[in-house]
Amino acid sequence: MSQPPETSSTAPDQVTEAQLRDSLRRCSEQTIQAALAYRQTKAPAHTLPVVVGIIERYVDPELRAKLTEAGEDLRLVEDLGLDSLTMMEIVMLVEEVVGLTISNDELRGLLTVGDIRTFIDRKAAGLDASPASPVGDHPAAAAQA
Amino acid sequence: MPIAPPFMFLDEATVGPSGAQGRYTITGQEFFLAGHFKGNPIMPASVMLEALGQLGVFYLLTGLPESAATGPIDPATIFFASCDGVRCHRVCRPGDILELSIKPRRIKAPLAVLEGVIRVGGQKAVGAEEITLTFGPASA
Repeated sequence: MSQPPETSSTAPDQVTEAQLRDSLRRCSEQTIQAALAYRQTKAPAHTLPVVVGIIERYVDPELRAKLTEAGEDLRLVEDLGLDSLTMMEIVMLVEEVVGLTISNDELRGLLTVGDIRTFIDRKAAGLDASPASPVGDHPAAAAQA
Repeated sequence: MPIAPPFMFLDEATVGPSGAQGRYTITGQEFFLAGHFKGNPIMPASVMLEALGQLGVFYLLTGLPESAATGPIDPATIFFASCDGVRCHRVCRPGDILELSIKPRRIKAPLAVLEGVIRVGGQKAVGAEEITLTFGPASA
């Protein structure tokens, strides 16, 4: 049996700037800088730019402007047209960059950009981020519940 | 492998600790070369990307580490989901031997993100920063 992928064998806190840049090489420099700052400080202020920057990479170019216009209430499926597989791709990259794991059950509770940001901040702080009580107070999340 | 001629673009393949490698010789008998292009057979870039995807299928079925925690995969459930950062550096013609390699970047069921390169005589012909395949579990 072969060894695990190199990208999965590095402890989250041992990720180098080069590895982070490689993971985010199709994202903006602003996103990379926010990710570097997040990895160094874990400060919530850096979470949203990282999340938005990663989502931006996967969103159709004509919809990208919404990311800066609509704020955290932007709905991932309805407003940005993301399908479930693209959501998974986004989650995989967010996990790699912020060093957290998001289960498929948790993923189902993440409906808006703000949901993801709040989820990461709560999980990084060691708080309950369970989607059983939808993260954030967004109407869309409440409707889903 | 769930793929067969005339749409199989791997003559041989091996899997190792850091990914998978494969080879394919462009024979000139590939059916699509009769029209791509007229009187000027050139391996389509889309088919070379398909070849990398097929090597990715081989990796998922034979080389996936236990740490990926995906369990057995149903070969009939593996499909191409997306690709990013594809660049073609060299035209490939009959007689060229494609040396393919892929390595995993991220794997989490139901997705595997792979990086792929095709070289000919050591010269980079095609590079794909990310090829994403989707897969499903084998039924118990």
